[in-house]
Amino acid sequence: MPARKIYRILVMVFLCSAPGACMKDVDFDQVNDLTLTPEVETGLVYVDTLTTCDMLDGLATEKTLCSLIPDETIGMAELHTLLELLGGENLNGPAGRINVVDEEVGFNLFSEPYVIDHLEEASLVFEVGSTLDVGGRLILMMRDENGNDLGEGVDIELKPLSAGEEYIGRDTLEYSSETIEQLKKTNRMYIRIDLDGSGEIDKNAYLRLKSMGVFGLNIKK
Amino acid sequence: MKLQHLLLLLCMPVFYINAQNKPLLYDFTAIPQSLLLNPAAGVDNRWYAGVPLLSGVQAGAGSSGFSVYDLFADDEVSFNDKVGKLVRRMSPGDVVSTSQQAELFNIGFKGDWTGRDYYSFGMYQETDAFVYWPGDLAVLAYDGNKGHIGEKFDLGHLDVTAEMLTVLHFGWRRKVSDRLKVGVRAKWYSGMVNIHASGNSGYFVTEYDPVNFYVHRILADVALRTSGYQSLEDIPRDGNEGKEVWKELRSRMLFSGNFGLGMDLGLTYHPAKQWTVTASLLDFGFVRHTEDVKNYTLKGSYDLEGVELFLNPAEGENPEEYWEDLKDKIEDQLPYEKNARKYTTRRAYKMYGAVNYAFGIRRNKKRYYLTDYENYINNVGAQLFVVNRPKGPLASITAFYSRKLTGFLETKVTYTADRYSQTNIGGGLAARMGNVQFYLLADDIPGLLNLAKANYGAVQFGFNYIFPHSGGPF
Repeated sequence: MPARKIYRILVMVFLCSAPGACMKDVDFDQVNDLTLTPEVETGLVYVDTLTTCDMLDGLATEKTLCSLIPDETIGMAELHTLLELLGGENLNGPAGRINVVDEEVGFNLFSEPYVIDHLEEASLVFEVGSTLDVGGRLILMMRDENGNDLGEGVDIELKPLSAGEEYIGRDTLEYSSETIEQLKKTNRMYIRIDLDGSGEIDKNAYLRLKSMGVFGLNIKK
Repeated sequence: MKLQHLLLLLCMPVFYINAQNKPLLYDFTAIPQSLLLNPAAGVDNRWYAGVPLLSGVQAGAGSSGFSVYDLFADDEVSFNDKVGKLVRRMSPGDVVSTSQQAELFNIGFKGDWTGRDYYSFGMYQETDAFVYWPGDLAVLAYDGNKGHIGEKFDLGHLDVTAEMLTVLHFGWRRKVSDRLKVGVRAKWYSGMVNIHASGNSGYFVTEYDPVNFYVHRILADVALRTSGYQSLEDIPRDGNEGKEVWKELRSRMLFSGNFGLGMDLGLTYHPAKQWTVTASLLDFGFVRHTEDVKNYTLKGSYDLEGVELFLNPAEGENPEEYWEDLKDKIEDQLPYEKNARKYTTRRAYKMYGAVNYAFGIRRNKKRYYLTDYENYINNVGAQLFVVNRPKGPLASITAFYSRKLTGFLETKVTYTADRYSQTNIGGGLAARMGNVQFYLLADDIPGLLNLAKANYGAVQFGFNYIFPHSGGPF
């Protein structure tokens, strides 16, 4: 066989065995279907300890109310009178309760661009621990930029300290893919704590708040 | 970079393969490009010139742990499930590697008719990427931290080295005696793109915490360094970005500003008449990155329990800006930094060693030979290849057989075992028609029969114009 012919045949054989000819049963367009759905667990907002004194000081203009109380405990009725004298604000909570915390803070976590793009569902758990001798109620609302409440919010009834054990109250907010848009509108967070208007309260007793979220993300092209 | 692009990039190597080892080309002295693997290789001609852009073309890729078919098989299984399966199966020791090389020009010639000295020079463009599977980080991205509370995600799993550069080189081979040839090649590197994240350490963990359910802890010593990448990222995505990227890369071929030096060393020794021992050390050098540098570092520690609310805020605090203030505080405390500090990378050096036994009928059709050892038509032997990688050297061993079939055709077959494949049978030929030589070398031929299912593959081909010995001085 002439050398030229052998040479041509060999070159053709090798060229025909080139990689492109051997990839029939794959579909690279599948990469467009890739969707990552990680679930992220994280702590959210928390209040380490909010003592009775912290709450009381927040009610008076001078913020030194607690130091004016000589005893370790104070009756709620006396407290009410004292607050009136010092010009405290928002004293009257529902059902004769004293409103000790009424705060709205800017909170844009859920309207960050990455969250807007990828958050698909969420479950938020709020837990309040209380060693207060009186009962009360904690309300936490997500609000939009105009101050409108978004959904029902957190509503936890606090029970008085019993047998020296901290009372734990929990509430959960669930957001499905249908309702998640509501959460994404959150621009601020409103917290209100009301305490019963009767009974006595220890100056060193405290409330604490912790919260966590499980967030389902959906990351795709 | 979009997630899909990254994934595709990781898999692309499997099509255009070869992961640096070129067992077929090494000591295949009929092909002048074998001088690039051993500057003392016994290439024997008066002079040669590679056809620009069509000589020394090489592309290869390898992966351990998965093949293209595992991910892209055209079947009923959801792509996300395939990715999930891969994330569970791969370990941080698995690697994805790709390399590519194309000669811009390559010329070699004998110093005089005795062949005592042989010179070769040229320029080629090379790409080399080596990525360790980012084990824990892939799990974190795929699963999130749910179900992994208390588990430390190792940030050291981020280990990527990728570079594109051009190499201007000049090599000199000297025949010291009938038994010994030594060679050296000086190299000038011009870095086009470099991405380097290696030697990282640290972890990310989410733990139960009494204060607020969970605390996230980062303890990190992580750096991702880049040169020549940011300016490519800045090219507007207006449909012409492909052309613009190519234009930008071409402009860096000689004068990128990111320069380096390196050298190759080699020897060919004949301890006995039919025996040959060869060895080489390649790319012993560095590149200094000074232009278009952008680095990202995360060094230090940070704990995040959540967002602490201070009810009844102090004087001067604005509750309206609570979240923005907090974000600023976190960004200040998180030990994350971007900078443009110059840096130096070592090239991944490679070593070859081979023992070769020649036998068979002597050919005696030419009038001149450099040595007697070239007259045998069969060669059999073994080669060892080692490439230095961030987490330690990777080795492969090759058994080979080569034969001069006719005066114009030589072939070589290899069996190579390495971490990519234990079924790597390669074959190659060098054919000459007049003064034009064509060669084609293919690793892992069984894999090439269905490249998608292969873990490794490499193809090299080229055209050279070779001027053989004519029988007298020139």
